[in-house]
Amino acid sequence: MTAAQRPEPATRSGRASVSASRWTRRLRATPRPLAVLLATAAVLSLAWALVLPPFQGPDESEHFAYVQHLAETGRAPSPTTFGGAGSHSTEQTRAMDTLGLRLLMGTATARPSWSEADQAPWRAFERSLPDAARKDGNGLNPIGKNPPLYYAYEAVAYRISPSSTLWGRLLATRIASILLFLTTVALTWAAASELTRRVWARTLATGLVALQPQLVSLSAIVNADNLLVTVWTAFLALSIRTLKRGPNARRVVGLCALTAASALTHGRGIAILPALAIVLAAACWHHRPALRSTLRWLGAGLALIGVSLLAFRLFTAGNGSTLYGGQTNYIHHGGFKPKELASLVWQFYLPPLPSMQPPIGPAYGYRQMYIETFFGAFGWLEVRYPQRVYAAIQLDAACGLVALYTAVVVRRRELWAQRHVAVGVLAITLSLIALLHLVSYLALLGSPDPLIVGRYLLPLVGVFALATTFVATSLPRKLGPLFAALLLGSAVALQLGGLGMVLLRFYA
Amino acid sequence: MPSSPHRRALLSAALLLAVVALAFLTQMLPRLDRHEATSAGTPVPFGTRAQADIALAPGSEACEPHITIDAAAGTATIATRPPGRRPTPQLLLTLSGPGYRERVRLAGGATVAQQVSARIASPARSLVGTACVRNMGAVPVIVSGSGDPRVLTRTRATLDGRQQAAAFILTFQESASHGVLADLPDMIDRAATFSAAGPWLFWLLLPLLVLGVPLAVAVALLLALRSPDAPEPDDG
Repeated sequence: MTAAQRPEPATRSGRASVSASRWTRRLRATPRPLAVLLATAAVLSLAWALVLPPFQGPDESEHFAYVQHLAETGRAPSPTTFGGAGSHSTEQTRAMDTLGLRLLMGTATARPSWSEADQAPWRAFERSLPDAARKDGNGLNPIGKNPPLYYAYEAVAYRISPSSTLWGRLLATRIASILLFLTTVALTWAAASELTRRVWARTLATGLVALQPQLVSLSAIVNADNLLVTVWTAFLALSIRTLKRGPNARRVVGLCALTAASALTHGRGIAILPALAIVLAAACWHHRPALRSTLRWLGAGLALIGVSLLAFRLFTAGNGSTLYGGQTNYIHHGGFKPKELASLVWQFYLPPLPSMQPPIGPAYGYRQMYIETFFGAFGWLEVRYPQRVYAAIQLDAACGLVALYTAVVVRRRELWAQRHVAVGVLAITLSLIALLHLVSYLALLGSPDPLIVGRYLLPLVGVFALATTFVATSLPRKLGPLFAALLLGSAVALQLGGLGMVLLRFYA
Repeated sequence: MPSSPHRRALLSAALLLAVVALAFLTQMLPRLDRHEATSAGTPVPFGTRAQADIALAPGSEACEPHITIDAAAGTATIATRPPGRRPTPQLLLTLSGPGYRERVRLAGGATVAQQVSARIASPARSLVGTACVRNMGAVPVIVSGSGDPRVLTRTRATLDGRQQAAAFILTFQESASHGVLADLPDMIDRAATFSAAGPWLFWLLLPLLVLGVPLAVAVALLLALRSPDAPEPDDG
């Protein structure tokens, strides 16, 4: 047989063409409301990425330093030992100090040094930099304790950035975060599609995520929380699918893979483990799959998680940190009292009971976490909406909770039939919230920082959107869409207001 | 006449746009009209972490180097307070750099902490120079400063030639405020300075944000409300 007669190349090109046409079909099949929301989310997120000056998101300077060090050297920075130029490379340090970017962090009255008298020397310095000036951010970088998955993803964007300037590489890594956000938006549609056939309800759920001000501003910076949000939203969507349709090999292994991804993204990601156990238990209890198959899928999934954690352990051994040190080190502070923890959590949400001591730590609770820093505290949390806006959001949230309770009562029969799904979603929610409170309490035993902000709740943004949509679909048929319009309109206003505030804060 | 579901879809989309318009008119428009002084640089800003004041005896002078003076700077501001009950004295602020020297008197007479501003002649182009404050009166005065290490990496004050662990607060404002809309081109130029994307991308995004985003979300809702209920997702 001659080369021309060999079928392989033809087969390969045929395969490629089939694959391309499959992708085209899939793209064409994208529901139009989702396509419009994805385009909107992309515009918003890109605008945030352009308006926020470099390193002006929570801990972005340290997250970027991690990405840079990993991309340049293949190693994570040390979270425990000083080395090289310190926590940031010589290049990043010089940019932060000479252009006022370090002083800008959290100082509401400061402005970055945009003047040509500062910019010209910076550009000259950057042109003269040796490669070594990008590789010497060896540590001590407190973010170095984080697992490497997000940083490895970002390091790819850093390496393929078409611009070799610092701002160019920063924008490339920010755009990589934006892609994660767009995935989150699409996954919310997938999760909502499992629960409702009404397209407007899917649009509401997805729109609430696409327009959530804190999430969109976070998506425009370099921060591992971005991948955590995407992984948790994927986990939510796949959990609902598994609970509704029953477990199979792909779903069980998929859930385990997402669990591994969560654990390899951030220390807070380990909160997904109890959620996985409950979701799988509820799915098996409801659908009763064959025991042998279940054990086989579960074995494969658990092996995947085990291998991931082992790889992470080997990785941390290289940079001097411990497995989930950020979450577990506080345990060594000692003084753990379950009653004190219970009192702290109670007083986080509710007024104290007569028998309770004042909680340890600062005056910090529901309002600060679930309202102010969940819906919008930008920059290094210093750019905030006026207090009347937070008061209005808090009132709306209270009404929303009452409405949710009412909807649950009214639709209790329907919910009872789907109780395994409700249990799964509740498990996902409570797993994260419980871990946040536990870590916060342990941190307060050793320092005054409660170590808990609304941003940490963003992995549950899909749950928030689905719960709100559940309320909207519980309203009389004519009112639901109007309620959706009201919510989406408010979210657009918050978005544009937030962007405007950030522009004024940094450049006016 | 559109059918009822179509009317409801239009009504919902209109309500969404009305909410955005209402928020714009009541919350954003008043701020667009604001005429606060626009910043022309904050070499040592207010509100940093470590307050560290500098006491200026009569005739003493505090100087800080590496101060950027922007070509747009029309007003300089520092902060002072009297150490006791006697009012603050007059101060002399000197700004100097390559080809530029400006001396202005800062009014005294304050019995409480206050910000003191004076109009200055801006340099022909932005430059890095030195700012000095001299006590011209017969009583001491406290010049508010910062010991924040993030400030001191850039500049550090000397008092009569002796190095201090502080820098006195100094900010510049433009001489006239034109309102947010008029200042928008400058703000976009400043933002573009810190981005790999040029100002053109900011200008492209602006109409997309202000008009495109509300319309797109309204269109998404409209399309959704006009769509029939979706089939169950496939069992993949």
